Amino acid sequence: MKFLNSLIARIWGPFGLMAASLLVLVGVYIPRQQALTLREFQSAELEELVKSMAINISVAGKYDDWSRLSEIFGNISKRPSLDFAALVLESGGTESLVASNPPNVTLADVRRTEGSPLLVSAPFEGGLFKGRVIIHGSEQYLERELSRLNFPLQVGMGLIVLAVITLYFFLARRVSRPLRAVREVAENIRSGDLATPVEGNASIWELHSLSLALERLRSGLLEQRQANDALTRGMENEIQRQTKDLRKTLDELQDSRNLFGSIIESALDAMVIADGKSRIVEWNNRAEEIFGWSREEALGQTLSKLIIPQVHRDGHEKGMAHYHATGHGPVLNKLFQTRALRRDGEEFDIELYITSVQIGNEEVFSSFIRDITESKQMSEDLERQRELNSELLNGLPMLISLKDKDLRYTFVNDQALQTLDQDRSNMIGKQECEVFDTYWVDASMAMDRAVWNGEKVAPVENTLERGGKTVHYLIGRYLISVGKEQPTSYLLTYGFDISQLKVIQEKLENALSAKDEFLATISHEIRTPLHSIIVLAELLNEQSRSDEHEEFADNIRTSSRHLLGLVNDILDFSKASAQRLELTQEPLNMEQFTHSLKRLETGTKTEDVAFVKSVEGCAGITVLADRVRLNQILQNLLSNAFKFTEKGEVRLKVSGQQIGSDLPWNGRCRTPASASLKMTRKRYWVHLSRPIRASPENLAEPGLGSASSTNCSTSWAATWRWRAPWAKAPHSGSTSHSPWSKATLKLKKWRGTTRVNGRSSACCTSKTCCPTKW
Amino acid sequence: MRQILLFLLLAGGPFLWGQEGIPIGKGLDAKPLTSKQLKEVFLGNRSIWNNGNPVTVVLTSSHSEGFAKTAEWALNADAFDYQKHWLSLVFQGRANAPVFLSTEQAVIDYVQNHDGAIGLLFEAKPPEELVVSLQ
Repeated sequence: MKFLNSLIARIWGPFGLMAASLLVLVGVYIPRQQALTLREFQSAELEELVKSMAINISVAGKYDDWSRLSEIFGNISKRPSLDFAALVLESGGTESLVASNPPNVTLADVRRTEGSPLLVSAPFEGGLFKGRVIIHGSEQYLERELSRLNFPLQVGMGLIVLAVITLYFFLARRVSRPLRAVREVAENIRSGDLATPVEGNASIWELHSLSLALERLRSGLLEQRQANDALTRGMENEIQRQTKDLRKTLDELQDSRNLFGSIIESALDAMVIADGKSRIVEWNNRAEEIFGWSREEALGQTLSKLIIPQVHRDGHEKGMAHYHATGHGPVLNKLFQTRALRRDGEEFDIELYITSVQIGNEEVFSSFIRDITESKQMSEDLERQRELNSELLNGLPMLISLKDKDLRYTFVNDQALQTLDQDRSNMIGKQECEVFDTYWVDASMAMDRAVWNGEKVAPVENTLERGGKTVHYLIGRYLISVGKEQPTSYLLTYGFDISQLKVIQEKLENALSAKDEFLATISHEIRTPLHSIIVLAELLNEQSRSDEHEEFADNIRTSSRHLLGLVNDILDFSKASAQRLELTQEPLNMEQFTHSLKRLETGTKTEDVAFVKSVEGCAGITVLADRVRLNQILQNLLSNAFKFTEKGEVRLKVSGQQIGSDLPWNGRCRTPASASLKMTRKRYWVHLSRPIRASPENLAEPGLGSASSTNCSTSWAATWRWRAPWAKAPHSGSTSHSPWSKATLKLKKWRGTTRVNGRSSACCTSKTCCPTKW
Repeated sequence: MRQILLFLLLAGGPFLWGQEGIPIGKGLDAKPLTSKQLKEVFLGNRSIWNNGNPVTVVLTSSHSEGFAKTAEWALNADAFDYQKHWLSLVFQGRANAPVFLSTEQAVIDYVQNHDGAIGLLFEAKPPEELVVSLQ
């Protein structure tokens, strides 16, 4: 039985194919061919019949031989293959249906079937008969015949189908299912599923053997797998670990490669890699920019040809030969400066670092090249700028020092070194307390720290002993930052010599005091004559004193003039204050001028106070001055002298004294007020003095003329100042007179000639008037 | 018997002579035919005699005068219409095809030799035994 099953299994494929072919043959092909054949056969039969009919009708008509007609037409109705037969005669061009079988057929029926493949006709002509015989085959007959013929085929086909189905189920149960089971087992084994056992109950002995073999194979594989699992797990763990390490290494290598590539391409320095024969094997973007050769052009070229100047090529070749011979390269792994060659032939300065790397059996040389043309120029410019800054700082007439955050000196200018009498090396890098041992060091460093902490410290005044003198300095501090990205802060300390400013300040204070005195004097001077004018004017209105009118009028005139003089002085003072006082400069002989001075009436009795003038050393001296203003000054001085002198004499003493090439000229007026005039070669100083009383009420009355003269002289000769002796050395409580209270008038000596009596004359002595010495 | 038939023939002769035709036949029904029956025979409406012999109509050629006379007598039409009539009958299987003979003598000969055959003579003198008696 198993053998039979095997046989069936073997022939299953061809058998199935044959069964399918037979089904197609019996079910489709043969019925179709039968139908065609039957139709052809019917057509042939009909054609033969109709031809026979036509011939016999023709014979009957022509020869009167009707012997065959009965035989032919008598069987028409018996023919099942015929649907109908019709006899059509043509007479006079028209057809008429003479007879038909069956008899109910009309000519219209005949014509309606024309075109049908089953309609056959044949013409005849014999004797009086002319027409055609038409017969139409029966479709039902064909179908009946086909059904009759196909019936055994259909039966046979049904049997075949039944047999095939039976065989299918038989084979499916006996062959296909075991085969499928074997295939599934084989698939399981192939896919690694060894847990499913093989069913060994196949009815086919070959399948049974195969199942057993597969089962043994599965068992063996399962055991092998179990044996290998442990080993595999260990190996997998090891492989995983090694794979992980390898992947990490590869990633790192790739990252390193990418990093290396990006570094090379984005490096700020040119990177040129050459082999042992100085052929370029790598050339980055920066190298293209610096040397002007593209990467494609540079690769394969030699360094000597491409970037080494002519003068260095021999040295390079010798150096390479020396390195290959000895393995020692003096320029390797060192940063040094040399020159290189651009594509356009320009040689330029570079900074070069060469290192060698052994790759396999070949040694390559990596060169890192930096174009230092600009940096070198910038260094030089920076050095020049630094020198300039140093010169500027050292040349400034002020003390400048820089300290770092530890308050150590980083810079001290020359002025500071000179002022502090220190050496730069003794100060740089040291704190203030390490250099100086004075009382102000602690305070100074405290202020330095405060500035470092962001506090605002106002400049302070300090004094230093310099050359035996006390010099006043204004010391200031503030923080400065140098650099943009990483700024460095320094504490800048500066010191101004404010000694001159102090003097100016003192002068300014004196000037303000003088102004106050001037205002007080104005009030006093105006009030006195005005009061006289008012009183006298009231007296004039009294008729009883008509005899005194003339005297009153004279007094009013005198007071008015005096008042007018005061007003003029005020106007002059105002002009002087507004810097609009216009002074005339004319040659003035001081001797003549002195003698022209006259005593003015001040209410003091002339017999009680004498006016004595003496001139010494002024002979021939001519100065450039405004006679009117100078006269105002001296008259004011004299008037005050007379005013405050009740008895005695007012002495004006003018003297000159020559010192070296200079020609000093002094004049002095005394008793009790005095004035002194002092002339030097370039400037003439007029010292005007008056007795200064210590009492404040007297101090407030220097006289309007003095104040006006002060401003007048200031504008006129740039220097006129009242020296207030009490400001420096007050005589508190004393009533003694200070013999000299000085007012200084600075006059310029006249340079040029003047006409005296129509003739030009020298302004002064030949020495002092020499223009070349002014 | 023969005398009787001859008598009948002669008795009825004027009738047939009036029609200018003498029917002849052999092996027909024993009874005499009426004129209507005779015409029905020549119109093909009878196919078998009472004695079981098939009716065979024997005619002269379709171009002959006798045929035309027969057509006029039987169908009251010309020879062509009588031919079409017979062709229609034969085509439909309703009658046996008539036998056409060239001469009346041939008709006589044919009738003498075929039972159930019947012809119509207009010129020849029929044998007495073949003359069909009429009522």
